[in-house]
Amino acid sequence: MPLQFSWLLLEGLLPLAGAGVIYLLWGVFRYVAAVDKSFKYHWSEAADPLGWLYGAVIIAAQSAMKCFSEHGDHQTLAWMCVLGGLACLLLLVAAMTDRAATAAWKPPISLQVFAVVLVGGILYVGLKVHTPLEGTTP
Amino acid sequence: MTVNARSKTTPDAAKDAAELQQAVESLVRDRPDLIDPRNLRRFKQALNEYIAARNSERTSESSDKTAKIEREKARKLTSFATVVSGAVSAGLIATAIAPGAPELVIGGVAVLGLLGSKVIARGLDRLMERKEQDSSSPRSSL
Repeated sequence: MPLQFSWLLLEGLLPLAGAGVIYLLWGVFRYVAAVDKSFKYHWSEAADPLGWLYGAVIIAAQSAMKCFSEHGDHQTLAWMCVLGGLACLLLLVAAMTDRAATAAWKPPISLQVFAVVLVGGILYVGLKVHTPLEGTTP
Repeated sequence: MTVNARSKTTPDAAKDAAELQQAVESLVRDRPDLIDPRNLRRFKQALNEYIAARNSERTSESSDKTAKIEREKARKLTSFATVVSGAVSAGLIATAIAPGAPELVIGGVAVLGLLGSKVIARGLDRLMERKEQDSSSPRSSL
């Protein structure tokens, strides 16, 4: 498997969506094993935008550090990673403040959508950063 | 020279004391049964309960107001963070798609993302609010 795709799977998607996937699998197993299929399972709880944002901050920081240490043509990407990480951090802190102020807090749909877009953008940039340049050995 | 502030009676304190004396006199006049210590004790207990209930009502009102202000502040911070994340997302995608693009172009795309995300976020939240209201309100019978 190419290096960048193994990074995307093992260091990108697995930490971000792993817990959600496990929760979904648990629901599926419960459904399969249950005799009475009418039990209630909150499938939407698998979507955890706060966890994604926190994971994306770390991925952005790692990608930025890799870019800065290589001193290559990736300087713009490095700064975009820094900006992306800061935006994730801001969104994460804002969501936590909102959650603290409201007892029955649920992430608003706009937060979920923009968290997905931002995390997707950071993963895409991270993939670019971790793609080895042609003619270089990883 | 130090002046003992407690020993001096301000006009407000004197007025309060006069009002209290008036209230006590009118109470004794209207309720002669309060001369009995048992009745007086019961009256005192009822008065204390009444005052405590009034105070707790006032406290809960003020804490409700504070919570509302906190919620409003948090909502504003979230909408600001959403707009910033929209701008950064647009910039990120522009940089990743066109790595050699001038910074001015990336900045322009980010500004477009900022404006677009403001509109999109507001629209999405209104849509969800309307959906929730529709699902929570009872259906009118035809």
